[in-house]
Amino acid sequence: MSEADAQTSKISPARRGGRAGRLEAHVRRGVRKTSASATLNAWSLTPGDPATRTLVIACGALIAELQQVIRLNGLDHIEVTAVPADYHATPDKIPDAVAAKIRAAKQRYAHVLVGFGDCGTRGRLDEILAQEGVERIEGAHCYAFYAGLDRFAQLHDEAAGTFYLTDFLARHFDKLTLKALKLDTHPELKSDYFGNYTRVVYLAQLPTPERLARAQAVAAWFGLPLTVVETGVAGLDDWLKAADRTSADQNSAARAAK
Amino acid sequence: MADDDLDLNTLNDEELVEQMWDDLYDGLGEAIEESVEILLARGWTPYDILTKALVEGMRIVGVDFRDGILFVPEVLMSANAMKAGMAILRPLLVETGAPKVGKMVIGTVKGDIHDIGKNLVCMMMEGAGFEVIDLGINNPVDNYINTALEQNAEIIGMSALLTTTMPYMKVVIDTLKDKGIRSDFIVLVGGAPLNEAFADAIGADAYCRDAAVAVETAKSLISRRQGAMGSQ
Repeated sequence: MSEADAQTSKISPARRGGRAGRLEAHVRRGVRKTSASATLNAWSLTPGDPATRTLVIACGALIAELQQVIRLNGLDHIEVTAVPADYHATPDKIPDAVAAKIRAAKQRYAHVLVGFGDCGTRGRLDEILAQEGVERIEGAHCYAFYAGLDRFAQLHDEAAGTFYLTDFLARHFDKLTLKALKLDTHPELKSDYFGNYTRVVYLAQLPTPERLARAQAVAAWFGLPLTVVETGVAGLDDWLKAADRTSADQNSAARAAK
Repeated sequence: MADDDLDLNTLNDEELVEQMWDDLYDGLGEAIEESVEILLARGWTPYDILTKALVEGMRIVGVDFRDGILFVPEVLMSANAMKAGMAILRPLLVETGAPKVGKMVIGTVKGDIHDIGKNLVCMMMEGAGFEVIDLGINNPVDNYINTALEQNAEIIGMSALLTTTMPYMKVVIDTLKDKGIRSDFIVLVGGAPLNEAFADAIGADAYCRDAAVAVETAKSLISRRQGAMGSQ
């Protein structure tokens, strides 16, 4: 700690606490965090044979859609577990959270898959997945694999200043955007965050009138035009089925080797 | 007075500067404006107010952002408070002829519209005495090179937030090489998805993890360059 750093820790009658108040709060938060363990809470539709079970560790924003894909395809041996979607506000947390779940899952599942994009982890998630020998869905983030990589590139080329919504993000815009970025209490920051955006694109997985209304409300908050692109869940569906085929092949090979 | 609890006029200079660090930390723009006016009235030079109060305060903010104690919203509020102080000081700095360290052309690369980090770098570089030409967002290669040549800048700074846009930095560097002018410029790169290995791979002079590092790196490389030129 530099001399100036040390000075600021003991200084002055700060109005709202200044740095000293913040550091105190940070320490308190740290104490609370250490009491939380990285548990594995998997949701299973129908528990299968442990020797062939697969666990998908996914962003909380994808859980409902993954469960739908599993149900529709009868992939009863696949379970899902979530890493909180609000970790996207602090993406450095994602790799460690995923790694902890992978390590816990390896004792109980024959196969583990990861339903995350890079999601702002700067390649660190991929480094950890390479170390653990676990695959993830392709794409920088969920917008890319919902829209399809080519279609997403096209959308980006059309307007680099696009704010993307999915069903989940439209539903949780207030919490995951307004609150996470403190725009609920500091609306004056809106132009700092979003001054360069020119449109909102709603990538709709399972559009309903209510979800569309949510997307329209978000676009109205931005004061930007809304484009709706119906993606369905084909991106997740294709990935999960292909990964499941690979897992089945591995199971067969393992049985043959015995 | 910006706050009923505290009369800033009652603080001595040292206490007031320390209070400014806290007010920057808390993003209190009005308090910063008031403190700047008080220090000016006490005979402080605009340059001293800038460096000892505002830049130092933002450096502390940067340290705590790097350490995960502050997050982007708080840093934006701090930056806006600093901007409020800078708005008072900028014309005075021009009048008083504050020292200029060097000139930098900076912008977010083509295909990318994210500029929070780039704007912080602009502000801190300006605070450190650099002349900053901000190209804004979504810049093709010609914007960087033509402006750098026209303005006789020493530094080209490039920013990107997306993994899909950061490779464009190499396009700019390769074009500088193709034109035979790569060594005329110090090239600094930054942005959330980057790291040092990427900067090395594309042939940048340095990766700057945050605004404070950008300032220190720019100062160091400019000084090294001037030393090399002096010895020739």
